[in-house]
Amino acid sequence: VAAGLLGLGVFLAFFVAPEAAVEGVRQRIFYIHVPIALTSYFCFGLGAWKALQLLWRGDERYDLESYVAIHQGTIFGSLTLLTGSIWAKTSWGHWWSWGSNQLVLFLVLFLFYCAYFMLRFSLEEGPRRARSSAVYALFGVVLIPISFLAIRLANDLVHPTVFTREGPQMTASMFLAFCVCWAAVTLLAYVLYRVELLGKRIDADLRELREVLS
Amino acid sequence: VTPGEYVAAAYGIVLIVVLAYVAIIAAKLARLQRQLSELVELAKRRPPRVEVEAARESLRARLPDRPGAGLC
Repeated sequence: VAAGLLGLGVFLAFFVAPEAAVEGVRQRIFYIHVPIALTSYFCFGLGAWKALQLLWRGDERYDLESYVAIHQGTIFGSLTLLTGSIWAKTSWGHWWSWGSNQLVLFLVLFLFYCAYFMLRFSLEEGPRRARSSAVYALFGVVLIPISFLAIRLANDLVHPTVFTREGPQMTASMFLAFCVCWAAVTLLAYVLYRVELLGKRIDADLRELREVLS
Repeated sequence: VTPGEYVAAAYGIVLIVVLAYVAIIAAKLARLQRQLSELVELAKRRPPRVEVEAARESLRARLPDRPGAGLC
């Protein structure tokens, strides 16, 4: 379903949505770049929410769920940076702009959650590692709204603002293509999250079973 | 490089990364499947619990015959 929806989204983005007046064909990166960025925010947020549940309820299963969500977030974060850089190159003529708060704050958020893995794998498996990782994941959630709102708060002139108080600044067919792509990427992230989580749980169960049998 | 090629590159990178991720997950699931098969084989080679219990009962039945066996 996710692959089909993604195919439909790409079809709408390339063959139904009209070409942007100023940006031209390169604006079509928007339909994949923005949904991926929003999905990575969502994954980081989910990871922080699961971390909060771990600290609140003390149930260790939330540790794995938080880890997998943050892992998904970094994958989609990498894709956001890659597609964003390509868009920057074709629009602005260079791969990166340190003058854009949106870009720099997203990079900070991404690197913060990359460091999560360094922290996690430097500690021995157990409740201490779960709690430390959860606290770290919770700290990072502060960066999500800052990164998301930076473009609006700082009057960034480099990075375009499409969604304003007056609504989305695009035609109905463009908005439809965007919504389908967003739904597709979110569904894809959810499927990958479930599959990875299932794999990790089976792996843990097998390790336990091996210990019992040996 | 034309803008169209940049757009194709952006979509292509997304496709490649997602496919690579799916391939990694598939490889991991295949490894888990192998490990599970090994554990099933290991479990099959172990004597069934009933046989172990029967052997213990038989041993207990013979224990009083041995000198000092009742003391432990």
